[in-house]
Amino acid sequence: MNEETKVITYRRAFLLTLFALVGVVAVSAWLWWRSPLNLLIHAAQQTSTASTDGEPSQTTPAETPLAPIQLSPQRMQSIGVKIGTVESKTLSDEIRSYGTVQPNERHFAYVQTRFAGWIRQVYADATGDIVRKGEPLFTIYSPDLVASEREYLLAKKNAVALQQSSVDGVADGAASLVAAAKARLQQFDVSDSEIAKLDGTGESIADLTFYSPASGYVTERNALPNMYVQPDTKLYAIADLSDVWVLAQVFQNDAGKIKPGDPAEITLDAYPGQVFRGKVDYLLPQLDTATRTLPVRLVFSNADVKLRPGMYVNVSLKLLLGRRLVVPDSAVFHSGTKSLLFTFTGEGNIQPHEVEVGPHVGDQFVITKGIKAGEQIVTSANFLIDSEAQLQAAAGAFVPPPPGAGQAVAMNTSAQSQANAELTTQPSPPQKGTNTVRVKLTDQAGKPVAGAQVTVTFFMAAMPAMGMAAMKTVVQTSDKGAGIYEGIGSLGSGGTWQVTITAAQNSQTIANKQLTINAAGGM
Amino acid sequence: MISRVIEWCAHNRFLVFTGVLLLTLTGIWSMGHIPLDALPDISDVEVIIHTNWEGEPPNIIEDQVTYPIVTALLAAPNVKAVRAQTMFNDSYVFVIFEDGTDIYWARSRVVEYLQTIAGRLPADVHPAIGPDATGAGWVYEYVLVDHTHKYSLADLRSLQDWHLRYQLETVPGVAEVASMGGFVRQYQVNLDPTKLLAYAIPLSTVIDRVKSSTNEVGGRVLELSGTRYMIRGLGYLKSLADLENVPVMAKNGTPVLIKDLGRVSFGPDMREGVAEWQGEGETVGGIVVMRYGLNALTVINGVKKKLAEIKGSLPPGVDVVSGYDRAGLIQESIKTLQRDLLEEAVIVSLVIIIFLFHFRSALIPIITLPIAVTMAFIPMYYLHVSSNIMSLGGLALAIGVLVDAAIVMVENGYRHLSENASPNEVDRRRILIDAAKQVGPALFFSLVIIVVSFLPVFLLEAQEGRMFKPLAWTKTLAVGFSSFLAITLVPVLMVMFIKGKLRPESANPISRITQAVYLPVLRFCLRYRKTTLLLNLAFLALTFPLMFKLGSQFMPPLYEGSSLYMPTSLPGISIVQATTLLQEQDRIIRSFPEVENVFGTVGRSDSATDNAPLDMYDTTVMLKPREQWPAGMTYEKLIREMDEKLQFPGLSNTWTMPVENRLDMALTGIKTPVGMKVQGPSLEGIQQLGTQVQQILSGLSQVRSVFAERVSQGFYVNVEVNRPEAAKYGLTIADVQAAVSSGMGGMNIAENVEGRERYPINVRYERDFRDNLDELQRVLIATPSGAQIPIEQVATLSFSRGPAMIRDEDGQLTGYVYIDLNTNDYGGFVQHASNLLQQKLSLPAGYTYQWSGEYEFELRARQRLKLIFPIVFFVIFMLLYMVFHSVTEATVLIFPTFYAMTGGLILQWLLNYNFSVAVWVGYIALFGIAVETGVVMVVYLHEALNRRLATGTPLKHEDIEAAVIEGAVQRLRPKLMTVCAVLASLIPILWETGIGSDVMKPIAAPIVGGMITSTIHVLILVPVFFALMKERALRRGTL
Repeated sequence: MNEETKVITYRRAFLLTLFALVGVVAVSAWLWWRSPLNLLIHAAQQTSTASTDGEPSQTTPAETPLAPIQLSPQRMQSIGVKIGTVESKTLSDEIRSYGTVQPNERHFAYVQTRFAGWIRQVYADATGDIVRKGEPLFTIYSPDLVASEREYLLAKKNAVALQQSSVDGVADGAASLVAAAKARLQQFDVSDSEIAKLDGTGESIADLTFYSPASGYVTERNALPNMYVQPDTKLYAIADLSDVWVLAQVFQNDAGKIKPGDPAEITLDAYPGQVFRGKVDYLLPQLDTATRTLPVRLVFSNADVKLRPGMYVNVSLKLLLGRRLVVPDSAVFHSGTKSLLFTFTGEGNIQPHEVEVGPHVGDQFVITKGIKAGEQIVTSANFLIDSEAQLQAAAGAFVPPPPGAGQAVAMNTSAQSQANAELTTQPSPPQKGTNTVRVKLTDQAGKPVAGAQVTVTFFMAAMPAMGMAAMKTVVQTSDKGAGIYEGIGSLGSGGTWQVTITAAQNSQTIANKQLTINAAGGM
Repeated sequence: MISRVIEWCAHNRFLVFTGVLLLTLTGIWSMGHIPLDALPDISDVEVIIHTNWEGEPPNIIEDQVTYPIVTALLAAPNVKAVRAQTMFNDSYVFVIFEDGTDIYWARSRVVEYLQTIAGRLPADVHPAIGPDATGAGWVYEYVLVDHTHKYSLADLRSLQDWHLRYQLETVPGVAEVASMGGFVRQYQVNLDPTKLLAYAIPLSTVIDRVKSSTNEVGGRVLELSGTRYMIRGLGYLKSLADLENVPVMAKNGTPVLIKDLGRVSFGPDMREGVAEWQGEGETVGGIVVMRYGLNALTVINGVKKKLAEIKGSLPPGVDVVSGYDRAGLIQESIKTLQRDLLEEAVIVSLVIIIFLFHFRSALIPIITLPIAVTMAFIPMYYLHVSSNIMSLGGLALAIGVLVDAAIVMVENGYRHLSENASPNEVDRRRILIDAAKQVGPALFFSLVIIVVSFLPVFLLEAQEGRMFKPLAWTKTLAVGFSSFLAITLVPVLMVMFIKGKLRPESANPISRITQAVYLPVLRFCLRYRKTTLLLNLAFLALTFPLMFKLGSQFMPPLYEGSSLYMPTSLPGISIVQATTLLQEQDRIIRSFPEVENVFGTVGRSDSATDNAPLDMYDTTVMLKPREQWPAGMTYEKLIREMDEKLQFPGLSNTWTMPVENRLDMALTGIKTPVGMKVQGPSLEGIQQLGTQVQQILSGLSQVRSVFAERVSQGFYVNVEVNRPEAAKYGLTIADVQAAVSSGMGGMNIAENVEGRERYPINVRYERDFRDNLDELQRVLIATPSGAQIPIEQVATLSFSRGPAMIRDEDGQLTGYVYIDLNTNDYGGFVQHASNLLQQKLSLPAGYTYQWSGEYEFELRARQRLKLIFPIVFFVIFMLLYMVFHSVTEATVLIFPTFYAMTGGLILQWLLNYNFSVAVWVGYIALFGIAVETGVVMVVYLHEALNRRLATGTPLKHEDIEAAVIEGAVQRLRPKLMTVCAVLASLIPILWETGIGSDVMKPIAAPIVGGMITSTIHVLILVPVFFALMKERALRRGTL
């Protein structure tokens, strides 16, 4: 190699190296320059394209579908899960209201004279006194009465005198006179005993004694010694309080639920802790327009006269509901659009159930639909259990389609039924490790569908208690012809997998199927 | 000019010493007065508008309060973004201003704009701007521990609210002290609606009567026998009995009192937050919020001092215990960096001593080094650059470079002097000064290259700018001062110290060994130039692809010595449920031996800087120092173990660190480093999209957890008024709604004053009459006719779902997706994930998603770096051109940067560091140093060649090769010394494990790796290229 060529070689090498270096650097620089995609811009571009094909999103709040969850004993304990039972019980609901005690009108008496006169002596001389039926209340002097008595006595004397008279009709007339005079006395409300006294003594009684017509309390007393009374003077009001009425004020919405005979309870501030039991007597025919409430009459026996007229009472009307299924109210989870109960089937398996909830009674809910007596249910921490169910569902396969997305909408509605997918595995059931997954895709007429992209997704939710993260295996299948799609997937564990089969044709989802399969093999 | 400076200084020793002494003293003073901090404050200028509207659900507040505020502020000047969050009871609007806006100016603009919309807001709603602080200002948290168990939570809360809080707020720099947890005592009037009905008293009457039953008034004065008496009407409630006896109405002369209508008691106000200590039970906590832009350590020390002062005034048995303390982080990280600096200085000194083998000469760079560092603090003080990991890191990076100039000068002087056998004093001085003048200008210039090539770092903006500018400042300043000292102090010191018996370089064992190794290698390479070049090219081509294998992130996370556990439940969790979980979590965390203490909170405190909803936990875990951990435990492992143990059904875990999290929250609103913001016209749509994203991303292996906010999943009880029915009773919607807000909700209608303390009075139905839907239906409404009817007669009540919390960003509805990753390669994850989302997610019209979190900054920083890197190269190229006046030489000398980069890449790959702004800054620093060493090499080569040219004989091919060998080998020592100084100085950082080292390591790694390869390049390839160029010039006759 001579000097000249050597120099040229070096020169060439130098230039070559220089260019190569510049090239390497330039390429690297360009790659680096370009590499971090401007994702912010990207999202915006994507939006602008999406907005052309998507229809405006009319979304309704689609709740994440219910998915069973499994919790280890430790996890259940950590959030304080308690288990209760669905019970069948005889129940009564209650309506709370207020009322006032009133005397039972049926056992109410006034004392009035049927004649004018002067009161002489008063026995029952204070309001509130207890009087018994037949006890003397007062004595009265009445000229009219005395005149009548005299007439009676006279008539009686005459009658005795004329009794022997053979004149036809005289004796009878005298007797009828006596009878008339007696009737007059009776009409004056002179008691039989007083008349007997007249008969006995033959003397007119100046001061007639009046007896109580009923047992009870003197709730009103106007009789004063030497008072001149006329027939319209109200002398005594006597109330029998052995049973009393309570007029409860009930709102019109509740009126329909109450019927005579229903049990009722009242409590009074006067007797804390004491409950009086009675029953509904009568629903008054008219609403009180001032308070917009319906008075309901309740009857309570009142042997020891604790309930005094005018007293304010708290009323609780019991509505008999009969035998119903009940759960503790803490067990019911109101998710907003539906009510859920979480049943516990042992080994940490918790399954949400949609139920219909009836009235709330005490600290229990009546369940009208969706559950059976004797089932085990979770009665605490169900907010967390619901959250966990949602989170697991969100992490897994069962998620609703995107809001308003064109394809997804299609998938969810008519497209869903465009094709039918059947899953078989080799071996069957699948095992931990490698499996061949085969999907047979047929259209509605049962003819095989070719040329689709079929994806099978296996999902197993995380089981942190066992130290297992969520597992997901996606199997992309290839078209084997005759509607058979085959792929190979590896399952990381035995146990229950949630499987989603999605088939798309011309980027249109034609089938979407979800199922669970049990894989053999250990965890 | 530089030569003249050297000359002048050498002759004015006293003036130079005095000047240097004065500057050093100033430097020491500045050093003592510079505030300390862990990391530079990178938070934005932010003003928070907090509106409390009691008892209202989010959608009502959003429509009537938040949205009007947001839209009004969007147009305010210098506003960068407006974010809002509306929750039950509260609305928070965060107005973020452009960088550099004065916070107080910004606050007055906000107030100004609020003024304009005041009329459009509901009457009883009064937005208030929050403290001049952000969540990043939570520097200290404490809890009240009652050892006697005598005090109720309400007592402790009163102690905190009325005693501790105001005491601590007097500490300078404290913006506010927020109370967390416990119960706020409240006078509660629990009415029995059946009694109201029985007495025919409407609820509104009761409210009015209670409202007017607590007040005191003054009645001017009374002058009596020369004395002035002030008249006052007393009337605050003294006891519950006073409230019980408030008359509501009189019936037939009998007054109906409050106690006839219900029960009066003390009870807790509605709670939006709970605090828990060590898993031992509920407690009351306080959060000290630091004013924006102040120094954390000073504030914390002030708070601690104050706490020590008021300790004596606490009730016996009650203690204030620190729950979170940022001081530890600051002190530890500064300590780490200081230790690093010291170690570096020692190592560099050793390197110099070994190479020079002459202690007194070695003293020169050793003396100049601390002086240059000290001087750098002077401008730092005046630039308000705090002493933090970054600024001290800048110094740490510079140390190797700082001694460069001194080394080369001393070496040159030493060599010149040792070659000259026993000169007299005047000659010695002359020789030394000439030696200094010979290399001075070139050295000064090479330092200028290092400085100037690093200047583009100042172009970083926003967060990354605020983060790295302190580093750029200190590095630039220190190198600048060392250049200054190199031409002033060093010549003087040379004259003083380089004397006595000087052994020639050939007698130095290190030089002999290195030359013995280097010479044959260089000879070989010069002979097989083609092979050498090809090998190098292959090396370059092989290593560059590494660049695309490495991940990327914004900043390497700083281990803070504490951890923040932030699980999120779905919205709607009740406070009782949340509290039980909180205690259980704390108990589990406490059981780890690495944990010092646990301060758990859920929900929010009463600070405007705290916008956590009740479904967000915020548990601070203070960890013991690492020395006390069991062997083999790392932070990542600990978090993994804790995470495993803390798998609660219904919760998604997130682990971050307090400072990192508060910054992330304040900057992007997202608590995880990577998150996504989904925007669209309806909350339901956003939620569904978010759930889908969650589903798609949860399968990825890098994801620890992903959680899409359930924005529309709050639980509601709707009271829907049946208008025709209501009309039958003459009721308006407002009448019915009044019953909803007062009967069901209960309102704080008045405040009772008890000395310094104030407690609300609340009137509502007795619990039994409002604790389920059936009972709520029976809430009474007073009709105009005086009758009271149950609400169900005019309205239907039903359960439903609705917004739990509404986020609003620049007026658009937004939902967040939090992604907690188990990798630090955020960039790689986002790329992968967004590809996946593009395939799998179909966006409905009007919906968008964007990545957010720290990742946003990484992206922005990258965009900026794309601008900075070309500028760096251009600047270097121009400087090189100015030195050599040759495009070819400048081009050749650019290549050391690429070789330097390969070394950096390899080390980065070996250490598994992702690309981050820190790493890129390391590379920028590396390029400067690499070019500088290249320049020094070429200068020596030229010198050797010029000496041959000076002989006048025409040069031959062999002469060039000989000159190259002479220039390269003879001057090996100064080059190796500078390289070793740089390398050795950074090695302590790579070894460091203390707090704060995680941020410095990625900056140092590229420099260390790069220096190794660039040294090889400079020592071998530059001579080869030089030889090639000169031979070409020789052939063309242009030499």
